[in-house]
Amino acid sequence: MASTASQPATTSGGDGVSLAQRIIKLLRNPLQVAGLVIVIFLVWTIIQNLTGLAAAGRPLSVERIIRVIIFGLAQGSIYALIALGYTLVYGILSMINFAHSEVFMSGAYIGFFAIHWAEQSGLLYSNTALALLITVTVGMAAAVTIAVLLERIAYRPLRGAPRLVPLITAIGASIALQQIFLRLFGSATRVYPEVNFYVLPQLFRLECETIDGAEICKGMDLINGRYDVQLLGMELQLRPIFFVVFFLAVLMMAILWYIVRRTKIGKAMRAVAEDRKTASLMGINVDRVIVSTFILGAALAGAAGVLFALYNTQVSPFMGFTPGIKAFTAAVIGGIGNIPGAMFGGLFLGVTESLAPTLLGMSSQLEDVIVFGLLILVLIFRPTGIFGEVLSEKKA
Amino acid sequence: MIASSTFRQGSYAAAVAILLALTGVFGKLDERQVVTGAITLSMVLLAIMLCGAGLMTASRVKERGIVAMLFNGILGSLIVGAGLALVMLVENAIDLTFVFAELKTDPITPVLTFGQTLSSGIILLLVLSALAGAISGALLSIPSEARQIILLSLALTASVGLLEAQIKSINTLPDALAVVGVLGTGYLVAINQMQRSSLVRLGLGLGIGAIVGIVLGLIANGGGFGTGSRLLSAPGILSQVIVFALIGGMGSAVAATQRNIHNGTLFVVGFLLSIGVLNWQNSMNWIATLLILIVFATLFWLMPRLTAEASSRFETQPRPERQVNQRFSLLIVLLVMLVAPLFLGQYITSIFDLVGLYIIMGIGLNIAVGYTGLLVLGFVAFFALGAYTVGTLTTPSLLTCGGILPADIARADIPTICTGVMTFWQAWPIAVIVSMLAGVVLGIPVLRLRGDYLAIVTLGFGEIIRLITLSGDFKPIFGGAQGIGNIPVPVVDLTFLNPAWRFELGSAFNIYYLILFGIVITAFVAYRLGSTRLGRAWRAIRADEDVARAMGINLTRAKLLSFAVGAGFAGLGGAIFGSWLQGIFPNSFTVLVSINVLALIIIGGLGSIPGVMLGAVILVGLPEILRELQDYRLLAFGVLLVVVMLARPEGLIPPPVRRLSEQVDSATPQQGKA
Amino acid sequence: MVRRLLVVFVLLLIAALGVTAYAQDAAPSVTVTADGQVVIGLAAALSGEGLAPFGEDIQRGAELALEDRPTVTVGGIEFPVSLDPQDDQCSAEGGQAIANRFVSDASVVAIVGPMCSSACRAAAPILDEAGYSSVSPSCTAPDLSTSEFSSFNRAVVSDAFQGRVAAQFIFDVLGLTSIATIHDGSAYGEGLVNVVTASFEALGGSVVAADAVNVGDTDFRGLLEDIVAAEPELIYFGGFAAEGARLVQQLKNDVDGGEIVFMGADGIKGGEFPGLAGADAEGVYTSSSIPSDANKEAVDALLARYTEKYGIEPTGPFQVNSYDATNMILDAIEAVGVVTDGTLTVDRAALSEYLRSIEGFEGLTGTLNCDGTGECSAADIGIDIYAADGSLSTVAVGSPGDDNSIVVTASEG
Repeated sequence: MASTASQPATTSGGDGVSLAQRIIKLLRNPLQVAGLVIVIFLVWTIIQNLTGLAAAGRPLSVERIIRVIIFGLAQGSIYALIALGYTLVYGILSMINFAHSEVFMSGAYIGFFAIHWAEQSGLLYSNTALALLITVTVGMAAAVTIAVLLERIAYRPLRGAPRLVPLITAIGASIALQQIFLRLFGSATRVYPEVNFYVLPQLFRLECETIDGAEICKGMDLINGRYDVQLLGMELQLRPIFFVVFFLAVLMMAILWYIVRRTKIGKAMRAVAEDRKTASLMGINVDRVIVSTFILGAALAGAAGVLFALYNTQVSPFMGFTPGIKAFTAAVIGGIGNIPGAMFGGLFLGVTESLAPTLLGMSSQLEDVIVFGLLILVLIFRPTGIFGEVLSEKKA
Repeated sequence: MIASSTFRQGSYAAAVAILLALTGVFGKLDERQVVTGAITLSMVLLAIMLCGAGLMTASRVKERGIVAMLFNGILGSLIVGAGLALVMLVENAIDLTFVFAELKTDPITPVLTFGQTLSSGIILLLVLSALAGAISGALLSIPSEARQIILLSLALTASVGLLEAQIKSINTLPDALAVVGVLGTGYLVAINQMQRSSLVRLGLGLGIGAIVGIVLGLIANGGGFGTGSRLLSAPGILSQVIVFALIGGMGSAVAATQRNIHNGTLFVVGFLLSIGVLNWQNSMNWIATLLILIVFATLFWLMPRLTAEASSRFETQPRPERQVNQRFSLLIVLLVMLVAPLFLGQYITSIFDLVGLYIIMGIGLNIAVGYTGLLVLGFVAFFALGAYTVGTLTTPSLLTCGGILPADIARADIPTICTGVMTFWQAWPIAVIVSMLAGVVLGIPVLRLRGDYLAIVTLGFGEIIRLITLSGDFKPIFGGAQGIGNIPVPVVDLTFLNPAWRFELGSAFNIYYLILFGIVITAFVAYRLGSTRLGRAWRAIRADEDVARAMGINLTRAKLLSFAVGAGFAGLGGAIFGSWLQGIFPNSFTVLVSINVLALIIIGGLGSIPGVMLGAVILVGLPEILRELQDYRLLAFGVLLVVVMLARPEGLIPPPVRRLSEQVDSATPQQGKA
Repeated sequence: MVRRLLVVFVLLLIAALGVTAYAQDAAPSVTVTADGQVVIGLAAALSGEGLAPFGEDIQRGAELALEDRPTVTVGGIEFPVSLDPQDDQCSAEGGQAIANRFVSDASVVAIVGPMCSSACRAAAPILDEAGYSSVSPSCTAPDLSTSEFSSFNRAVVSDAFQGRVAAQFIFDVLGLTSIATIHDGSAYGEGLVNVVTASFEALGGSVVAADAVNVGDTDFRGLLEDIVAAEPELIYFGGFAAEGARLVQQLKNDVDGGEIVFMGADGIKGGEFPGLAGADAEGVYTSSSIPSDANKEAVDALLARYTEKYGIEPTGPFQVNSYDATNMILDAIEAVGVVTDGTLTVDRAALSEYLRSIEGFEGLTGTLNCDGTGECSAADIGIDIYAADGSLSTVAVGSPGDDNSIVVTASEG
């Protein structure tokens, strides 16, 4: 899986091929020509739309585009965190863990009970950081528990079965998990409380009050705040939460990257991904490695769930479905089995989904059409995804 | 004495029981009665939980003798009972309803304390648990055949009780008795006349049936024997004679036949009898329950013996004799399927219609997934395309009104302007072709992808089609969220023969035949294709793409064809679906449909057509019929997918692989000779 | 082989025609013996995603109605009434399956429901053919009453009316001339938005942007940026609470849309919406059919009983309509039922005719008059505004005027 990230795959043309040759090669494939035509058409539509908007007297401002990109990055970070789980499991087991979206959901949902408890007990207001930490921990723990159970009950007994069989159990487990949550916790949507998490009052002199002549500032509200920012001469109103989500996602991916590349268990994971049998002959406990993979993916998904719920507030048993499918698409776009690919795919998808309706001037009802159309386009040009490796035939 | 596995297994069972209890399942199922006035569904559930735990734990110590089994069984059940008691204590001590919201409306305590106070209720529950454990232990110590008879007949009796309302009016007791009598007489006569040829036996059966038919017809017409019966009050004595003659013939044919047909006939007889009893008692009271239990127990006791005898008789027959028997049985099966809607009533027939639609789709998807090994997760797209094609072509729409929006045309002018409106018969081939074309168009870019990439791309394609039909931008053609309404039903117009013969295939009854025909065609085509050169190419691709390519198979062409044929079948299903619903809504075409179809072919057994049928009945028919358990339907669906896959990864009826290899084996030397 | 297929086809055809000839014996009337029960079917979404709470409202509304009126009295004999609730999953297939189920159960007298317009439309032809009657508490699609379904009645205001009131309210009372519309891709949301758009443009206003969201999506910020850029004064939303709440929150918190008025319809009235939207619900307008002032107390009493009996607040407004629908059916049974020898007989055709021509039925939603097309609600449309704490106060009432016009009067205060 991740092993090939450092050596980019070469599907079209080897080294030393000139650009002209590459283009000619590209044009020889009618499919890619069709893809090119579509791309050109899309660009043309965008130009048409932009000029149309300008002619109508309300041109698309750069500020607006930047804001939409930021929204997209935040949403994309969530997709990326979920996509990492798909990619990890796929890398090792070559199976689509369809129930991963429910792992994400369980993190957000169980996290709700933690944050609700914190709200009731007042901890959320007296020590917000601790309360948030507890929430995230509980969410991650719940997600990990569900994932380990999943692996133990639904996947492990089927490891030698035909490829389609674990896919069906995964789908079954996904439906069952959704329904168990629905039946246990009721059909009503739960809502995360509004959290104001102020940080660094010394640095950000925001929301200040003058008490007894002294100015006391609360600092920047990382979750619910919304501030005017001057950037390159542009006035932008921004919420820090979008950046928090983005940076946390990058941070977690970095940790994951470190674990996979630098630790012993990571090495074992790569070995199992490469060849399960040989790895077990080398004394690697394959079961343990697979469980750790599930744990890693689930922890990320659980954290993503809580983050997602913190700024989208609503949680319900069905909340995992749409992000799950998008994240899986992202993993495929990035090249499934590849960690940076999943991260890139998630962000790319989030931004595209957010920006495309604006640029193309079409209904955002069709944004999923764009997402999946994009997937097909990417796969036309790079059948194994953007960062994807050319897998050995055995795996394919 | 007490095994450590008991504690482990017991606590697993207790965990599941507690989880279920917290969903408020006991409160919800408490209103549903299995035995009128006595046993509710929640009691059945409790019994299943307790005895299940008991059986599980006791079976682990089977070799240690009856005392160990009893002890461990009791302990296992007690753990579950104690778990449930604990939940009740907690429920009463602290307010759980914020977290477990369903307990607000359906608390556990009132149900599981059996109307007693909490403490005495818990004691009662524990006593019951111990009892259940003891019963389980005892059950395990009796011969396995007897145990199977008891458990199976209990399960079937409970399901009859569960389905009481839907199946009560299928047949009356006189019906059932008459059928059993005639069938049995034919059977017995055939056994006694085994030395004669099967044609003679058939003739005897037919004759006996005919005589009984006449007699019964006379009685029914004279006295009140057949009141309320569909069979006995069939119009005219002639039809009765025919019906009973056929039943008698079936009896004699079944006396020497294969396992499946024999078992199937016995099952049908058992169900007829139990429904008859239910119909006679008019509710699932104690008498009915007891009688039905006896019927099933007798059935399961008799079945292995009779079946073994019948199949050995069948085996010893010469080949032409066998064929006569087989063909006659098939004819009867076909006839039963043809007249079934009359007895099943509109509701169950409509469920069969839905199951049939899924069978058509399943057979189609089976070509792509089962034969060729292409993992398609967006099959619903082709279904939707078929439905929408028929929808737009058979109603006034942009396409059929020469490019004018129907909304802009005055109502009176619609027939003159919208001259392009087709009938269903004209439109469905177009629907099939459109779906196939879509399959090709999607297939060209994606079929060279690896399996799992294909899955997500097709899933995306399904969503694309749904969103396009839903979107406002395509509203003039597809109707947006409002869909397409007032789609005409298929009409069979035979007015040139008789002015009165104009039949609208609108009701659940007659669309049944359209769907049956669709199944026959698709199954036929799929079966035939499977044994052609192309079919073998598909199987080769499924087995190993590289080898297939090395053997000179044009991968792209073969894959595209497989994709397109499958898509075409889905299009046919969609076409029927659209005119059956008389309206199409984009929300009917969600991912869940794709998942359902995929799940049913995998559960049934990839690549096997009977498997598709069984899978459709289980995954589409059962949830539909168990609407009573509406809240737990999808949960059960999910769990079922997991459990079946764990227990039988190859599916319930896997395709006969062995026979294929036998064919190959027997074919090779011949080729060598040539 | 083709010949065999042809044989099969002919065989099937003959069987189909035979069964068609033989099976059409739907009983024209229902009989209930002295110790039997009058069964009323109920079809609503009782499981599944999102809409089940509305379905439960409907079921509970009917249950409360039966609690008040556990029996029907015909010819001096009381017959107990029982409810047969079934899950229609708010889908066309579900509606069809349920309709088939009810018509094959000869003891079902009439049906409350289905709940969603697609289910209503799929169920109606089947109920028509069997001669059954239904009273839907929530199928609001305008074209249901113009499709000539003999079985279809509704105790709820058509979206055609609700949408027109909303448009007139925006134009006349709020005095706004440019709006944007968003719907959620449901037949309900899209239909409502269509009516509002048409009426608003007819009044002289302009719809500057129109968009739609997908149920289940969470990030509507890009869409709202586009809408805000078109500078509407108001956003009209056709859809349900989850998406509505997200839109409001993101409109107010994430994009510069704080000053744009947000308005929805009965899909975001009461129940879940204020909880989901939190403080952002403040200033959001909703509309729904409302009881006349005279019934206000009775409705409040019903809601209080609901909360007490089921332990939760109702999700939407439909339990009141369901209560009325049930009572209409009970009234109809009492009116057309005939008792001979202690056995109640209800003629289905008479029942249908009675329901279609009910005059002056005093329901909780108001005085209902059925106009012969299945349109039974004459209730007014109330327009409410949310306060910061999630409570509602009525700001205007729209009622039908002469000549198909609409009178919208702003409430004082």
